[in-house]
Amino acid sequence: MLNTPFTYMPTGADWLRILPELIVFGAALLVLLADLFIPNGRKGWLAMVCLLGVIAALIGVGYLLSNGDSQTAFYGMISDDTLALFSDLLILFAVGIGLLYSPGYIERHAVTRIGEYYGLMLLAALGMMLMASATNLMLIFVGLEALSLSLYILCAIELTRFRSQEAGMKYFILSSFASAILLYGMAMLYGSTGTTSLSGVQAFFAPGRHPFLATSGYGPLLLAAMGLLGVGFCFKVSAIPFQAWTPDVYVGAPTSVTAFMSVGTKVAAFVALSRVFLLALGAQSDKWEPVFWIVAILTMLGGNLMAVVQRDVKRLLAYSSIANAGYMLVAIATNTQHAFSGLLIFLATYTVMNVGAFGIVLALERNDGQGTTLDDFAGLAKRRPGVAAAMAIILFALAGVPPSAGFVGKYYVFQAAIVGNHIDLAVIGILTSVLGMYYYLRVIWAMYFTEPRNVSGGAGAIAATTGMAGEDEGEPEPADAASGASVAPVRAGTATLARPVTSRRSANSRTVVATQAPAESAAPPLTLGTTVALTLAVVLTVALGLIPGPIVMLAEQAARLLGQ
Amino acid sequence: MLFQQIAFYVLAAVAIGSALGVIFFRNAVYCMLSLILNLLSLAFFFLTLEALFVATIQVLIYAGAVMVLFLFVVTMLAPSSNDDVTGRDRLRWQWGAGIGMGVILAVALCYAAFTGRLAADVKASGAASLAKQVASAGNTQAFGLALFHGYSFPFEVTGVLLVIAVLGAVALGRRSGAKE
Amino acid sequence: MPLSAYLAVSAILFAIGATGVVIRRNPLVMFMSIELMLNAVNLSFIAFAHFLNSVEGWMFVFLVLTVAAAEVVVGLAIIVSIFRTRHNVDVDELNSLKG
Repeated sequence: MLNTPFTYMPTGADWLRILPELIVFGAALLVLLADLFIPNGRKGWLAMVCLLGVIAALIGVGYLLSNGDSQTAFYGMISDDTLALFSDLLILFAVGIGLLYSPGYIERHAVTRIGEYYGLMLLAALGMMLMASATNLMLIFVGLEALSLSLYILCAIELTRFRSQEAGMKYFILSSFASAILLYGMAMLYGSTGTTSLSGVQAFFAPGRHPFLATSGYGPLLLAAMGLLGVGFCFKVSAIPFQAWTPDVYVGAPTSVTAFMSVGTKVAAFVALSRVFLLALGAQSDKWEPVFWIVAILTMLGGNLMAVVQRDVKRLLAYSSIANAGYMLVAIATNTQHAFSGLLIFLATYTVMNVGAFGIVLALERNDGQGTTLDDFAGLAKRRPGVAAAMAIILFALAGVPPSAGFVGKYYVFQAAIVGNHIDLAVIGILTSVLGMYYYLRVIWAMYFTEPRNVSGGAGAIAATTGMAGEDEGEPEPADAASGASVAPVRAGTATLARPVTSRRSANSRTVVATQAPAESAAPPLTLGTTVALTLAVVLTVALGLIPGPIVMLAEQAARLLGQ
Repeated sequence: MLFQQIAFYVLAAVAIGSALGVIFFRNAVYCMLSLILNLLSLAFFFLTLEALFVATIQVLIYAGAVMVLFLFVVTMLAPSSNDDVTGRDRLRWQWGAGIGMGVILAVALCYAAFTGRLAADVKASGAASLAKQVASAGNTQAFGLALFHGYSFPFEVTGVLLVIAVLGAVALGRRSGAKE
Repeated sequence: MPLSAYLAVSAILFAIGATGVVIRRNPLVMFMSIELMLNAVNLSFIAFAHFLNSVEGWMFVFLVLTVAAAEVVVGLAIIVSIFRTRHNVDVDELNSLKG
C-alpha cells in the first residue's frame, strides 16, 4: 500500500445528503431509457415519469428538511444545509411547472426530440441543484456548466424554428464567455487563499488569521478574483450591464423552457453568489459591497426603463426579470443576515409569479410564436376570462400590490435594506417598483378595458375568439397549496394521456400552416397540464401573499448560515 | 536555470503568438491550427510546472481528440463560411474598442500578477500537499489518489456533463430524426 | 521562473481570448477564443498548484478539460444545426430577435 494522505472515502451518509439530486438524476436516466420503449404517439408519458421524479425529489427534500444534519458531504463538496434545501425546493417547483407546460407546448411546436427534451429538463434542474448546494468552487463550476449546457440545447431544440436556434447560439456564446470569466475568478481566489473550499476561503479571512490583510489592505490577486467572480455572476443573473443576452434568449427559447430557466438559473446563481460573496468573502465586504450597490441601482433602473417601452409581453417579462434581479442585488449589497433571508423570500415569490406569467404567455402565443403583443392582449378578458384573471392576479403580484406574493418579497428586501443602512437602495427600489406598476398595469388595462384590435397576425385575433369558445379554463380555486401540489401529477398524467401528441409531420409543416391558414395559428385551448400548472402558480401567488409565514420561517432558518 | 528561462521565454512567445493567430487569422482553419499550437505550448508549460499527467491529457485528449473534432467541423463548414463570413470584419471602431478593452484587461491582470503575493502560510501541507504525495507515490499516482479519494464527487458529476453532451449531439445533430 | 511570470502569460492569453470573442463574428472563431480563455485559466491553476504545493489546482484543471470537451460537443452541435438551417453562421445576421 502506498502511504497516501488521501484516505477519504464517501460513506452512505454522504449519499443520503444528496438524496434529492440522486432522485432527479435517476429520473433523468429513467426518462431516457423509457424514451426507447414508448411509441411516438405517446411521448406524453415521459412528462409523467419526469413529474413523478420531481415529486419523489420533493419528498426527498422534505425528508432532509426534517432529518438532515446540515453537514457537508464528499470531502466538503456539497452541503445539505437549509439554504441548499430551500433552493432545491424552488428549483424543483420551477422544473415541475415547466414540465407541466411541456406536453402542451411540444404538441404545438417543432420539438422532435421529446425524450432528450425531458431528460435535459431534469438534468438542467440537477445542475441548478448542485450549483446551489455546492460548498466548493469546483462543484459550483461543474454544476453551473451542467445547467448551462442543458439549457443551451433546450433553447435550440426546436430545429425548424430559427429563433429558437438563434437563441441557443447566442446563449451559448455569451454564457460560455461568462463561464470563462467566472472560472478565472475562481483561479485567482484559489491562488490568493490556497483553497477551493468555500469554508476554507472563509477561514482564510477569519479575523486575526492573516494580520497583513488588515494592514496592507488586500492583495491585487484577491481584488482581481472578486472582480472577475462578480462579472461572471452578474452575467449569469443578467444584471446590467451584462444583461444583453437575456431578452433575446428568453423570447427565442421554447416558452416552457423560458418559464423554467428564467427562475431556475436565477435561484442557482443567486444562491451560489451568496455563498461565495456573503459567506466566503464576507470579511472582505467593504471591497465588493459598493460594486454591487452600483450594479443593483443600474439593474433596477435599466430593467424597469427598458421594460416600459416594450410592446411584446414576452419581451416585457424578460426585462421585468432583469428588473427583479436588481431587487435581489439590493439584498446582496445590503449584506446582512436579515437581507439574505429577504433575498430568499424574494426568490421564492419571484419563482411562483414568474413561472405563472410565462405560462400565460405560453397559453396565448400562437404556433408561429406570435400573438403576445399588447394588441393581442386587448380585450382578452372578454375572450378568455379565466386566462385574463390569472394574468391579472400574477401581474398585480409582480407589480407588488399589497396582499400578494410580490409585495411580500419586496417588503422583506426593502425593509432589510432600510434596517441595513441602505435607505438609498430602498428608495430607488420603491420608485422603480412604481415605474414597474405602470407597465404591468398597462397589460391589465389592455386585457380589461380595451377592445381587441386586429393588428398583428391578420385574422389571428378573430380566429382566437372563435377558437376559444369551448375552452376549459380552471378558475383559480382557493385550494390548499399542499393538496394542490399532490393532485397535480395525477391530473397532468390524465392530460398527457387524453391528448396524444400529434404526428411529427404536422409539427414540421407548422410554419406553412401558420402562414396559410389563420385558424390553425390561433392559440389553442389550454391542455389540462397547463391548466393545472397555471392554477398552482396563481394559487401559490395568492397564498404566499396571504400567509407568507412558512416560507419566511424557512428562509430565515436558511439565512442563519450567515450568522454562524 | 538558464535552460529553464530560455524554455519559458520561447514557450511564452509561441503561446502568445499562436493566441494572436487564433483571433487574427481570417481563415477559420488557420485559427484552428493556431489554437492547437497554443494548446500544445500550454502542455509544455504544464511540464515545466511538474504537472506530468495534466500535460499528457492536455496533449492526448484536448489538443488531440477534442480539437480534431473541432477541426472536422471547421473544415466542414469552412468552404462556405470561409470568405463571405470571416472575410467581412466588424467595423473599424469595434475592432479598436475590442482591442483596447483587451489591452486594458491584460495590463490590469498582469499588474495583479506581478504585484500579487501569495500569503506565506497558504502553501498546502499535510493531506493536500502536492510535493508530499508526488514524493511518496509519483506524479500520476498522486493525481489518481487525489481524484478518486478527495475529489471524486465533482469527477462523478462530470459524468452528468458527458451525458448532457451526448444528448445535445443526438438532439441537435440527427436531422433525419425530424423526418420520421 | 517566478509565479508572476506564469500568471502574466496566463493573463495575456486570457485577454487575447476575450478580445477575440469581442472582435470576431464568426461563431467558430468566437468559440475558439473561449477555448483560449479556458486554457489561459488552466495555466493559472497549474501554476498556482505548483507554487502553492496544492493538488487542488490539478483537480480543477482536470474538471475544466472535461467541461471544455462537453462544451465543444454541445457548441459544435448548435453551430452545425444553425448552419444547416440558415447556411450562414454570422452572428451579426442573427437579428431576427431584435425589436
